[in-house]
Amino acid sequence: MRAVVRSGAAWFLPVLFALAAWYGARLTVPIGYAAGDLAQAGIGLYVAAPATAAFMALQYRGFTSLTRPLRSVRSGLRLAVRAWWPLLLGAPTALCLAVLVSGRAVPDDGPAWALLAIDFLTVLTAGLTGLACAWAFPAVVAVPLAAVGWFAWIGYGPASASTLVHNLDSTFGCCSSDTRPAAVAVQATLLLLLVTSASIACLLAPARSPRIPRLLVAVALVAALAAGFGAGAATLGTSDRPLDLTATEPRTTSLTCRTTYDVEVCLWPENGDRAVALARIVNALGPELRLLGLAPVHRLVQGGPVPDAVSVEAGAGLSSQDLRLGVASGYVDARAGCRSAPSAARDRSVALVALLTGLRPDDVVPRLGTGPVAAAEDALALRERTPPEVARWFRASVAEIRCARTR
Amino acid sequence: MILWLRARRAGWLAAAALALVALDRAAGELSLSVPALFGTTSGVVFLDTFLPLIWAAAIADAFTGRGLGTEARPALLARLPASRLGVHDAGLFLTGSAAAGGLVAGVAGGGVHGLAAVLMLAGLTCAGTLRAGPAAGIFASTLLALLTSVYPRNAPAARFVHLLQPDGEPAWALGCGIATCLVAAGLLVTGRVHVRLYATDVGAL
Repeated sequence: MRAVVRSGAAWFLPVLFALAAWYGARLTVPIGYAAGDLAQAGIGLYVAAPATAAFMALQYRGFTSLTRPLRSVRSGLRLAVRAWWPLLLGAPTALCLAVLVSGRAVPDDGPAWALLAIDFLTVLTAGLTGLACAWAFPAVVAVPLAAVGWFAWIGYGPASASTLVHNLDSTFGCCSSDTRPAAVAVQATLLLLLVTSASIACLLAPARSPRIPRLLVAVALVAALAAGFGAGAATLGTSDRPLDLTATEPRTTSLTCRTTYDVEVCLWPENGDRAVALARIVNALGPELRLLGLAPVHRLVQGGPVPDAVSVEAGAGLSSQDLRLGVASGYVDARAGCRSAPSAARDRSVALVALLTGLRPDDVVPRLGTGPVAAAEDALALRERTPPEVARWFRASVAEIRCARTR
Repeated sequence: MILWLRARRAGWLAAAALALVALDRAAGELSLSVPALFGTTSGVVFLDTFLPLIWAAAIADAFTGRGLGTEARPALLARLPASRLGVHDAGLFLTGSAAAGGLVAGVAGGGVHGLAAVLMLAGLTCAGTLRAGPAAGIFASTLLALLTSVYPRNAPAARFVHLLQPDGEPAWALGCGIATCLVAAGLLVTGRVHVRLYATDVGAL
């Protein structure tokens, strides 16, 4: 308890938790997929890592000089951990709790646990870096250097055009319901953090290290950081998987399938309660499509294009209108034979199917614009007299659609 | 006078001002992304938001131990009367900070917000140094730079919270910077400071 008060953890950790939770909650739009929600809530790292590094540097100042007499018999690491464990372990734990609270998710698969481990290790490494900075530099230099260094690293990742940086960065800009963090990026980031923190621990560890010059400590700190980055970059370099800027890969969780109204609906487990609503939409759409001579829908699948099925979105944050529009987009993609790139032809095709699902033009205009909706309304006006004309218009529009470039 | 300038590390202050301007010109436009904190689009924080911390660190270093009693001042200054020393220190602080801010505003192209950022961080660091030691002073400034940088643009009163960022309200930021500097100068002149001896004692280590 004494260590908690003397280290400053008693007031710093609640403030850190509150700030990280506030930032996380402000950003996170829950999708129901734990890895996705935790990745979004991990934005709290922007505050937690630099603030922890700065606070450790502030608290640790002068510690190596004060404890020098003891270090003839005790390990420097042991002394540091004994005095500063409430901050070294408390700050990462506070961030993880903030991420869990603001993400409103509990890890339930490997990627989600990996993201939480990365959050924990990032703040731990930031704390150790601050501690080493306070040894290597005077306090007035160490405090801003540690904080700005971590803020720059975390902020530079998303701004960079380098795939290497994106895959080593601790903040994952992923994930939708259909993607998860790329395994190789997770491994590289974990290795970077583990090697860096272990190297700094080794730097602190020895007993009988009375007077190491500050310059030497600074060089050793740079070497520790370089070793971490080298290990992470080597992991990425030796991987045979292609790297991209999103650092994600397709999700592999098994879909939960359910047949309702003669429609087979296969969704991610967390979206299972949307199956009936989607089946109702498709069931109501069927007669409209048959009337026009277009093929009805028998199978809905979440998670990317599948032959003979319509791909849909069914995340927790989607409204009934979003679901209908998602069915319309999926239907057009299925007819086009691929995930279509944005275009006027695509928009008017989607608008037509969306109107057939029962959406009003006013509901569709904000999402697709006035032009495509007006074109679809004009086409539907022919429905009463010459339904095949509408089908011809739709097929002609679909034929103009180009496929989006996929990974 | 020479002894006083040496005790206040005037050389380091000048070097810090030059380094601040040089780095601002060289890398001030380096952008850092803060995705989605600012609503639905990516936000950008430029490195020049954090560069005035160089000047703040030099200020903290220069006034280390200033808040202590005569007997604990640097030996070089032990014979100077406290009131005269206070006026000298306040003059150096205000002149130096105004010069550094002017260089950032003029030479580095930082404009009014560059001047305001330098004054704000210098004043906060100096006041913090006098009350709680140099490390606590620079820590306060670092946290201010960090927290204002990630404060969302669409959050309440964002224009007034972004004291150090280009999108803040320039007149408000400059007013806050000048006020903070005057408070710090007042503390230097009057010597009315409360010092945590532990913090001050190990702060410069």
